Amino acid sequence: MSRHDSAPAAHAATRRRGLATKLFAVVIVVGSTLTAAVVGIQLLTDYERERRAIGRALEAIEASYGPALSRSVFTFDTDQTRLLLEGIDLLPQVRYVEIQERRGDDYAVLESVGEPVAEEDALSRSVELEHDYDGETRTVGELRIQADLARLRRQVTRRLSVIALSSAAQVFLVAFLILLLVQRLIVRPLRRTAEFVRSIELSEEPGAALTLPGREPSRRGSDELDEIASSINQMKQRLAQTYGELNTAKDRLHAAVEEKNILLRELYHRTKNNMQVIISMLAIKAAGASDNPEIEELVRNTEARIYAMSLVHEKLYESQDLSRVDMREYIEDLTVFLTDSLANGTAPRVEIDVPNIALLFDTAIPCGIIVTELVSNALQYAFSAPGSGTIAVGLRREEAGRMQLTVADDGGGLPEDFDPRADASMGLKSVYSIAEHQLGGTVQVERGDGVRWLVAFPESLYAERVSYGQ
Amino acid sequence: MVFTPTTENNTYWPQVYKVLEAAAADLDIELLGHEFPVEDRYAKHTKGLEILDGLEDIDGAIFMVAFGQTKPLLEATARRDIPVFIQGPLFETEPAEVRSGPRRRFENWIGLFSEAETEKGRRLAEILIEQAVEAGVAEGDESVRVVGIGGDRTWYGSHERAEGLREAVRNERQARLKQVVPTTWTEAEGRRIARRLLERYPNTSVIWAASDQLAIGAYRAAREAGLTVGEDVWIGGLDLSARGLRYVDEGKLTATVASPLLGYAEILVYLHDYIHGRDFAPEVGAEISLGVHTATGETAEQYLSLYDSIDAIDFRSFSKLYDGGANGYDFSLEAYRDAVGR
Repeated sequence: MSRHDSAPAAHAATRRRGLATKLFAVVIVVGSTLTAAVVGIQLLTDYERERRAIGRALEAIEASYGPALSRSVFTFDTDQTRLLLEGIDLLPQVRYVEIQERRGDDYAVLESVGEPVAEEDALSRSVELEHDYDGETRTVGELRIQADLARLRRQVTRRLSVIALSSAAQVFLVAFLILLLVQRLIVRPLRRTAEFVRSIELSEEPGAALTLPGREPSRRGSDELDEIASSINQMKQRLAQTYGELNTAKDRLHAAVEEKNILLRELYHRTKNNMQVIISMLAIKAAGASDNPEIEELVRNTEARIYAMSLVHEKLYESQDLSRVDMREYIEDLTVFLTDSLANGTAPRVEIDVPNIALLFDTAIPCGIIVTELVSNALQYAFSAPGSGTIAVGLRREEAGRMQLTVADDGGGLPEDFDPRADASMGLKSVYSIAEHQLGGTVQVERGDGVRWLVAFPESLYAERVSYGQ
Repeated sequence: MVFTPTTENNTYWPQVYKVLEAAAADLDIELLGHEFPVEDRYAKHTKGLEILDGLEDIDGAIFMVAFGQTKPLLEATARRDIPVFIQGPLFETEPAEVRSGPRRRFENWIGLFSEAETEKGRRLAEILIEQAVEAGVAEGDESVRVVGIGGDRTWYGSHERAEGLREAVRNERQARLKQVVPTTWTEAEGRRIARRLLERYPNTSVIWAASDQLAIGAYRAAREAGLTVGEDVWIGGLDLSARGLRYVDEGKLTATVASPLLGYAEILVYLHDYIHGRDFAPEVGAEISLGVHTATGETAEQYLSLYDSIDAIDFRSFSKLYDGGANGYDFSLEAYRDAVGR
């Protein structure tokens, strides 16, 4: 999926978990939790208050009914006792009331009204019934009253359930109202803003400004969303303006680079031509000294070195890249030139094993001179019979940013006591000098069936000096 | 005419009527009786007055137990100059002109007769306690535990009877009164209260009852509790009624104490003589206290036999109208016995 395709999907996912929905959920959860906590606290508080009220009511019942009950029990006034108990039982808090009459040292249930309540669900009070008779206080029985706490719990729970339900409904309605308001006042403007931002394209024309839905600046004061919209519109304007300025600068830069490239190619071309002139002049001089093989060889070697340098310049001005030279093409052309000019038509076979590596011309020129020296030396001295043997030229990248240039032949090889650094000609000595000083590398000679020169050097010894802004 | 109270399943007042009717028959009196529920003061007040106003040719009236409504009855009879006997005791709440007594504010109020209610209560208690002590109930540190089944508290006599009980217990150091409970006179009430009292005070020895009906109810409760009268418990009532006497005679009750039912015939004789111009007051006074009699197992039969002979008594022999006034009034038991078959 492309980046362009994934954006709507991400946008859709974001819409499914919209701000309003999240806020709605938060209000519902927080509101419900708080409501539940408040209702719970109120439940406990109400229950305890009602319980204390019942306790006080039972005390009041004892105080108000006790004397009359004592008298009626003492006088065996069953009707009056029953009437009083029924009167107590009519009180809303009371569920069961019982009179236990004292008979000798024992107590027996005399009268009861209502249904007894299990002790765990009852608030019970018992009080002795005493009656003064003939100046003596007699304990005639015991009044036991039970209030039904289970009924109280049901009443409190029922009452608070109504409160809880109404509170829950309030929370839901408030949350829904918030959902609608947030949806209308925040989410829709934000979505519009997001769509607008996604639709912004780089252009020198600012285009249409962002307008938020449902907002009339003339009808209400600006708020944060209006500020965001205004900032986005200003940003879009500045973006268009900056984009235009950048395009202008880019055009100017391209023009400048093109002009520089033209000049550089012209420079490379003229340098190459000048070197060709020098080569021609050397050829003319060499023709005048055809009887002197040393001079002729000197001229030929010099021509080869200059050609190697001029070939670099030729490759540079022919290339799009004015600082790098394709080494495969360069070394192929260079070896063709060397075999043509030095082997007199009986050149050995030349094998080129160079990948398409582009090196800075600061590196390519020393490499070309080294190849020129080593291939020239092989052509001149390695093979006893003309046209025989093979010269192999290779270049490859080693590890850690290092390059290795190899020039090998399968000729007669170097004498055993020959020291290439000390005993060699000027040309081979220059190989060491160029490799070590200009390339920052090392030279290694392997002897065997022929000679194998190994020149190792860092690839990035020189910095890029020509940039094209690409 | 006679106004009497009544209660549910009452056995006392029918006997009173029987005595009165026997005397009325001998004295040639047409007797008109009216009963009113003991607890219905309104009926006593209004219905009684309606009856009085609706009757003509009434020569005299006896109002039994006026229940604090004496004054309107006296006023009603005074308007028609009907001589009236009132049975006491008078309530303390009666107005002063009533409490001043007969023949003062109301001239037609010729007499107030009453039994000695306090004495009756005291005498019954003394007999019951005495027999319990003789049976050895109060040996050692034990005391005779006494409970009382009182009468209707709306009748002042109930209070006096209970006060007699209290006096007897106070006078007897070996007795201890546990409780006196007011009732509405019925036998069922006596039974219920006695049962409850025996439950509350398990070692009760004496059950004092304010009437024979209450005492018979108490006897049933005691029997249900497994108690034997004369051995475990001693029970007595106040009425000297025929039924009470039979229970005493059978040993089911220890005693019954009251004025004999014949005392009502005595009042009828006084009224008869007064209507016929022979005033009793100079001899016996206007406030007459009927004598208190005690019937135990030994004497109950005597009263029963006399009651059985009521129809054989010639009540004219007690009236001065028929003996010429030569002798004084004599309503002793001996006189009644002498009058049988006379």
